[in-house]
Amino acid sequence: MLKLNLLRQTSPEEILCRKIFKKLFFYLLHHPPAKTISSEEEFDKFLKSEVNLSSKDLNWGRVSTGSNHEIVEIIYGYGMRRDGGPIIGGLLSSSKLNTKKEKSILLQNIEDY
Amino acid sequence: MESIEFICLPITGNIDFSVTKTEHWEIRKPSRIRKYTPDTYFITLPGVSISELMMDDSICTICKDFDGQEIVSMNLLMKSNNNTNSSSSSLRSNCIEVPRRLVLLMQNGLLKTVSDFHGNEVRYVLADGRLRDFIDALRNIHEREFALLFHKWALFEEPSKDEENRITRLLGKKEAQRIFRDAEMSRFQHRKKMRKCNDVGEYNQYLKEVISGNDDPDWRRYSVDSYMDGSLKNFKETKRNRIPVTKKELKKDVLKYDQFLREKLEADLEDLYHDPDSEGVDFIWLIHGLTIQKYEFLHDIIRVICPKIIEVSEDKERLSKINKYRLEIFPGRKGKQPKLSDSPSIYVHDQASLISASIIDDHE
Repeated sequence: MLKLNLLRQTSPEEILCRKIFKKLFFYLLHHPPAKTISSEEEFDKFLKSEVNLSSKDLNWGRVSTGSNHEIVEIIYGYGMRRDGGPIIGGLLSSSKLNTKKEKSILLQNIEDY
Repeated sequence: MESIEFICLPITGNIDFSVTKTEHWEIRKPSRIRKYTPDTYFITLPGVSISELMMDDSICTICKDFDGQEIVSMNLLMKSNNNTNSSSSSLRSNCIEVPRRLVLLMQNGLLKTVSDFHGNEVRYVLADGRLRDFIDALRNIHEREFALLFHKWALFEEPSKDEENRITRLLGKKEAQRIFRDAEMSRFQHRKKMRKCNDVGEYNQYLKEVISGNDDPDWRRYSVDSYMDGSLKNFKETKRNRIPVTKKELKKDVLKYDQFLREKLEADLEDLYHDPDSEGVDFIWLIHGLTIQKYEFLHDIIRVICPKIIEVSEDKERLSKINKYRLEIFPGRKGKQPKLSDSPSIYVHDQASLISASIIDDHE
């Protein structure tokens, strides 16, 4: 094995290795590797081939920011119970919107929105 | 259309590999709520594959969310910078040779493969975790500095020769010229608009509109507004001797406020370069001094990204101050010589300068 000396770069081999290392450094600095997938199937395929996982195995954390908290609350509800479910249910919330009060809060949220 | 994001780390403990799923929703009224499919998956991958490295023609710099003052600069920046690049690489001609050299770099402990990934292509990461941390810090300071510089060029001053050279080296001649042309137009428009403003309130309102993006959400507009309101308040409290009344005085007041904003911007840049509390250049040396010294052959790249970082290594007095401060905050490390065991293949030919630069040995 050739022992590299990237500081002195005396051989052509070292010069090229140094060049590759610099390119990699610059690439990672300017271009954090990322890709976008716009299909569930493609995403599943990606997970399976790259890390041998199924999308069902993933645990997602929902992000609610200043710019979208209203819609997050309408769709998924808000507050958090011990089991992770919302205290006030949203449209997709697994908790049933049992009480009239909760239903009216949801409707009011949508109206406000 | 509204977006809801979900974040996931598919492999526990590997924060370099993350997925952000975005759902797209539309709400018109309670009875008309619609989810558009498909969802979008934005995947951040660890390291880089050979084909990504070979195909790299683009340089992406500043697209992050900041608070307060950085938002002001960022919006201006995003308006004038599409971040395309034409930095062709001589490596491309060595397509076949590169994999062999990557193996050599791995054998020398400089790179490693990402073990969790078993896809079509091997992914390589820098083996030295401290260098990876330094990349994050360098990217951060680069984004902050360029946000301020773009702000300066778009509103107040043309770029200096040095700044022009840096941008040209970083983004290529064509893209650099486009940016400078846009900035010049922007400065021209700015001067014209400023002259039309009757008082500082009007001028400040105009600046808010220029700085806010057309598609900015309310909270971001609010941040820009608050920042500019704060600036105006500060100006009125510190720079005014008396409240202007006549038309001439009001116009002069606008010019004074403009000058105040220029000076504030210069002061922000100066803080980034010299204020130890700004998490700028000194902070980088405090935390990553050893890494910077260790990878001397990366200095020409670092110099283009942020020359002020390399300038510190040439200023013994400043360096000694930073080292002294480091000893105060990391007293347990006093007198210890830096370890270089995790990169045996980089020979350090000047131990003295290395010791003077940093004694932090931050284990991974």
